[in-house]
Amino acid sequence: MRKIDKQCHLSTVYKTWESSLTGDHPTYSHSTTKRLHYNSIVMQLLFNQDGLCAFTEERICPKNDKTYSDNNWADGIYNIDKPDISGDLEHFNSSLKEKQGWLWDNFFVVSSFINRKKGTKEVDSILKPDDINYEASKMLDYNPTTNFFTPHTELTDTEKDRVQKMIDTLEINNGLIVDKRERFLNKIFLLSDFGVDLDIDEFPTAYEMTSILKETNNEGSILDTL
Amino acid sequence: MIITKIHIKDHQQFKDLELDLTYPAGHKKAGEPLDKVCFIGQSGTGKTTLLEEIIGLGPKFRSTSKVLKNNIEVQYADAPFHRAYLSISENIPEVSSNRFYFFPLLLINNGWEHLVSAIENHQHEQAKYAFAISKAFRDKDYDAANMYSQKLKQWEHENETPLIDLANTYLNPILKNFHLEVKTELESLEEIKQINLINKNLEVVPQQFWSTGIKNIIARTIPLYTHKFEHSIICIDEPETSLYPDIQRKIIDIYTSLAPNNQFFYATHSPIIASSFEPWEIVELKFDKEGYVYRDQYWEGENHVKNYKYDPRYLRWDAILQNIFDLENDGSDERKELLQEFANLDNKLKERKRKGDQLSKEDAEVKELMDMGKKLGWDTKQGKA
Repeated sequence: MRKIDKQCHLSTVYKTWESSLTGDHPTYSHSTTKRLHYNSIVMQLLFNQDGLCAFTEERICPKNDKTYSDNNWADGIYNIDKPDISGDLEHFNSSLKEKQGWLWDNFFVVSSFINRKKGTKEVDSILKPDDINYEASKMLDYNPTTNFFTPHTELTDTEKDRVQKMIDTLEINNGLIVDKRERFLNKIFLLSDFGVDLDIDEFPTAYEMTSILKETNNEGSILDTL
Repeated sequence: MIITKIHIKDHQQFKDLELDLTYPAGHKKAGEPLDKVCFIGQSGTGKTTLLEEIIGLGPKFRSTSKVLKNNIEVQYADAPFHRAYLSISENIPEVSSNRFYFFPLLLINNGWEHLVSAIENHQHEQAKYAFAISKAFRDKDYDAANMYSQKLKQWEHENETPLIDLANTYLNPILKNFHLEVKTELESLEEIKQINLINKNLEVVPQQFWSTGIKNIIARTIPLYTHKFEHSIICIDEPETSLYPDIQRKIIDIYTSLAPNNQFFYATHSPIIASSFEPWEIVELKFDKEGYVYRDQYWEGENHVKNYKYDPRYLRWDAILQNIFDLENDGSDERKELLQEFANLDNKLKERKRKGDQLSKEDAEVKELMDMGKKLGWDTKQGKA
């Protein structure tokens, strides 16, 4: 799960409106507000997230430069039909949805499946992708044997428990994701061995962490070395 | 082969379901109706409903597209001759056609009477030769007796008894898994009244002692064999019922070979059954957010054989369960928890090693990791599945 830069330089109409809100927000289901801002928020976030699910890094929007082109924005609003994506706008902290349902800080785009699985589970900002203190390399390790992310080994036991809980809440090690991640990385590294370099257009954190482990010949289980 | 498209609008859980039932571009049969179709999906998505709608569509089949009852539109390549429904239920669907056959999972009336008739005809032909030989002997015309004897051999060679064909070609290869076979040497008229199975000691095993799986196979194989369906629609609900995985793996091929020139529709919950189908032959039904049913599309972009994400014929069982049947994990929740514990401890041990710890198999944490690997069914020497 990469750190996400939550700039909002494209969806400026929404951002200006959101910044001006005081007190309770209009309800999230309010149709006029949704019609006006929903697509712009989603497309701004997909721009920030490179079209990947904010939590699992599964691709949810086709990699197509035209999708994010400046030409698709007019006066701070995304002005063409939203591309067909397999993701939803997610309220990171679902308890804020009722009264601050349009809070920029609480929005990510995630895979529809992950959104459904996460539901209204309690969250901890220790693994919030845009949190000022969040760095993937300081919070997470990757284990290529299982294709699971784990809490970083240098965290305190309390921090490890908090990170582990969030790994579970955000479904980062969901079986279907693990399966996809494993197949993607196997393909990438296999082709790389044959001198074919492909775009890392999914699961970049797992790829980067595995690459580092490979460089030090440490990608296998410790049991391989005994 | 018959149905090319089904379109259901505003009927039960189907709001607007359109199923293209032809082979995709790039296939050698591109554009032709599928030979077989496999409906899969969560309980309640309407698999059995679809089978019953297909089997019960209207009093007449037409060769042109026609809106039929229940807002279901069907397109045919050709009209089918018959429709057969091999159901797990005994409730006969409402079908107003004398070209409809219903075969529940009961042994009675499931086509045996056709076989009896064929056996009787066979015996009648045999008796003609036997009579001629006998008469020739009585007349001391040994040349004629020899000639009829040769003719009988030739006829028997060319006309295997239907029971032996059914037994040797279809049933015995499966029944041998249960150490049983079909009794083909009939010793009395009583034995023709029903199919008999014998054990290794050649003793007849009474039907009340047959397993549900054996009854299932017999009840479905005999009608498919005896009715000699051609150019018909055959629907089979839950072909896997009571069958062990190794038999499930073979059963679709057996049904196809029993009635080759027909269009089969199956509804199943079994990944093993699904592995007998080409990906375009699988129709996975899912609920959308509003509770309506849609088809999960397996291809991306153009409907071309190269654009299909998965092919169940080449996947491992766990991969079929995860990718096609949407099971989230490759095992139980306990396995997933143990995988996470393994990953955490494995990474911790790597960190210890990086910091200079000398790890050995005697180390308590290494032992713990090895135990976990063993529980996960891994070759701990490899450290991988």
